[in-house]
Amino acid sequence: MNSKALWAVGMSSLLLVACGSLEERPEDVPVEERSIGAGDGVPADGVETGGAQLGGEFGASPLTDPASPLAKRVIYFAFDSSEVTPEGRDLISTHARYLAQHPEISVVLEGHADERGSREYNLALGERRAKAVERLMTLQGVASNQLQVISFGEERPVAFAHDDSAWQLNRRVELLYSGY
Amino acid sequence: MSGRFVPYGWSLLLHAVVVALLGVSLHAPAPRPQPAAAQAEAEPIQARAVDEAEVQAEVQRLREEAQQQQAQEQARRQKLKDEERQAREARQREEQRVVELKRRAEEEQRQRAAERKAKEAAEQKRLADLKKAAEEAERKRVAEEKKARELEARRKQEEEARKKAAAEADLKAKMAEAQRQMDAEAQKRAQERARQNSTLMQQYVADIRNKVERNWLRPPSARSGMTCTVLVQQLPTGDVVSVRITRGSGDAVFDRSVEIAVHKATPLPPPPVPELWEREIEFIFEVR
Amino acid sequence: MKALLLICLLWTTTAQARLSIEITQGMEGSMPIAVVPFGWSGPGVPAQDVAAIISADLARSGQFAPLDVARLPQHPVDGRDVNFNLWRGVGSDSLVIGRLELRDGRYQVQFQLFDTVRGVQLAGYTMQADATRLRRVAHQIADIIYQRLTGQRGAFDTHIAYVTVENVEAGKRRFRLEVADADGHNEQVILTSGQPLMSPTWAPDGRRLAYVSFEGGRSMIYLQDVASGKRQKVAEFAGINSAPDFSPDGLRLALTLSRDGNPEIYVIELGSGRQIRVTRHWGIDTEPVWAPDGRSLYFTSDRGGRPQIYRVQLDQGGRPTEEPRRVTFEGSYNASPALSADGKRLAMVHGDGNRFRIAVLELDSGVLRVLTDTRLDESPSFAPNGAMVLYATEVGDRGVLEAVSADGRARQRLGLTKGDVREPAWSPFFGE
Repeated sequence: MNSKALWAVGMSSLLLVACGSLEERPEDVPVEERSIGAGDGVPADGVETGGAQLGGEFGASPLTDPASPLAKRVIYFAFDSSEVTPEGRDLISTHARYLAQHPEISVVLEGHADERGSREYNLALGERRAKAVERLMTLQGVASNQLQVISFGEERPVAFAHDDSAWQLNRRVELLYSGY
Repeated sequence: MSGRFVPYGWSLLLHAVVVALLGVSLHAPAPRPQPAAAQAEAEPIQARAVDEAEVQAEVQRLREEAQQQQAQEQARRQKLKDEERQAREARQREEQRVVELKRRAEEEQRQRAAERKAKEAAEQKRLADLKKAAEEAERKRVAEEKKARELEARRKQEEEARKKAAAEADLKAKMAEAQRQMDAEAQKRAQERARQNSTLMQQYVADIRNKVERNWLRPPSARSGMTCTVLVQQLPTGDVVSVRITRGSGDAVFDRSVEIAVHKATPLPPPPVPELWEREIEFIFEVR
Repeated sequence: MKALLLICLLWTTTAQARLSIEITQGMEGSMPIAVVPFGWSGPGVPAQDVAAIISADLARSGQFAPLDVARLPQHPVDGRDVNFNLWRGVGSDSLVIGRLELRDGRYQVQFQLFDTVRGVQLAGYTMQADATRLRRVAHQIADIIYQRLTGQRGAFDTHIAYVTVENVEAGKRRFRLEVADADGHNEQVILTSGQPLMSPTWAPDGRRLAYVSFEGGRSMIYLQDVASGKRQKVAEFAGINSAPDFSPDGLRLALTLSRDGNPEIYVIELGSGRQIRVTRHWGIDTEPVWAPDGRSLYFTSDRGGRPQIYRVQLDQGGRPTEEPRRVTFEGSYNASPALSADGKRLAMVHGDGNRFRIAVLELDSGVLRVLTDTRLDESPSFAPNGAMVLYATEVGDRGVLEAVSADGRARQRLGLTKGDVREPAWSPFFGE
């Protein structure tokens, strides 16, 4: 699968996503909440209880809220591919929206690959995956200086077994918010 | 240097001597020539008285003398005339004779000239003929030489052709002989093979082959196509006593592996029946 | 001419008059050899067991099967004491005997190599070394024996570099770049890091290593002198800095940089830092390796869809002279090219479906031979004599290094340290 096809698919699916996100979705609420309320980087430790805030969520920053969709920070990929799946796209949009509204927040997109094949090629593949996520984010309004791309190839696996289940978990891009 | 001036010196000396001599001779008075002899003295004329009779006689005598003289004169004249005439005639005759002689001489000359011319012509012709003959001879000689050379060349050619043919025939004969030998060999081999093809022989060969193959460790450098032929001699006990590579593969490691294989196969397995035992065996190792 | 032909005919006809047997099959296997423990006339024991080192070297090459020491019929130290019949009896084709002496604090080593089948000596040498170099002398003797018996240059007196990973505690790993003798002895750690290390590669003089380190939080290339440990950073551009490979003259480094948007091949002049960009394609181009003449690079590229190996020609100045040409056509995945020193063979990771094995491509004929039958092989590296390929694989749950002979016949595991071992790089021959 080459990048041109990926690009086309990405673009057209983005179009679909854009069309499909006209209605409000419940997941978006905490983000808007946050813009009214507390500032960045305040760890949630239950100081502020949820009376004044809609949705009943606690924690000032959605980035520290384990129930927030922003808590999901990993996008997975198919073998030898940097094509973003629909689930991936959804997650990327979630984070993109957040970042677009918080230009002071930056994120590192860390690309990875599973252990099979060439290490160097996997290093490049990890970068390509992270760049795919970066592209989708910039298209959704995230400024490029908020995004940094790094690849670790297969050097930092999260699962160490030598089977499909482990490999699946290792083919990923992680979103690393600094300080979170 | 001084040698060059010596002749000049002598010349000068000589001139001086001559000049001196001349001078001397010049200085000596030359004897004068005597004047011419006497001049003729003139005789004076003396007058005398004459007597008539005497005179007449004298005159008659004189007339007679004169007549005599005249007659003599006439006679003389006549004689002279005759003589003249005679002389003239003689002269004429002489002239004629001379003319005639001249003519004859001219004639002769002409004749001689003609003869000479003829002779010359003849000589010319003779020379020309000779020349022609010589040229002809030369031509003939050249032609003959050429012919001779051609003949020689042809002869040589024929000789060579004959030699070549002979050599070819010889070679052919030899090749035919070799062919005959080969055929004989092939026949012998066929017979041998027939012998080998007998089941027992096959078994013997198989036994030997198996043992050698079991002991042949093929080196990693062995490439398809490599082949090495080794000649082995064994004792009736099967002990290998001589191993000689007759055709190497070009790879020393491969050849060594072949030698080791036949060495390690000792003793070679015995034949099923003793008559089949072969003292010399040629192994052809090949990588397929 | 005809006469000559005739002579030949006659000669051959007279040469065939006997039983002729064709042998077309042999045994594939290693050559049996006996290495007798070297005689020792000094006090105690010598600093190294030279015979054991030689024996292990020869065995590891896969081409020799040394006789068990317990089965040696005699222990001659001098050529005159050798009884060839005894050695033939135990099936040993070759015999190595030797002697060690100590003179003025230095070792004097003498050895002889015999062909027991034909009963002749094939080699005999005397060498000197002090205690620290005795192991090396043993490797050099093994090289001589290897050369005499196989016709190929031995590569026992060489080094290998590799990366080890150890789990220190949960979530924390220790990475080490190590250099050892080709037999795995004398391991020396030349770098320790809490972050990953990748792609060590030797300079042609065998004195320096270039490698990728993530100690700065992302991939960067370092150059380190092995003996002194002194190092310098040679590439920390934006994006990826990886896959370094020294040019044959040691003055340039080919590497992968993604500073211009996606991974491309560049060449850096080590003296001036000047860079030349070699590939220009939106696909991934990485893992450059130099051809021995320094005039072309082989590399991995997925410009055709999936990773395959390509070759690009360079001019005198290192600039590409034409478009890269594809070199691998078998298999759906070919990466990690490694070139033999003579430039004639290319080793690679060859993937089909789920299996990733090491294969060698003969560049002249295009014949591809798969050498391994494991599933997760990577990082092939040729020995400098081209006779073996070192690579990393998984056995059980561990990363190990294995060496396979270039024709795939013999394979051996290197017994190295604890933890996972990966990313091997075989050093060049040493100048000394």
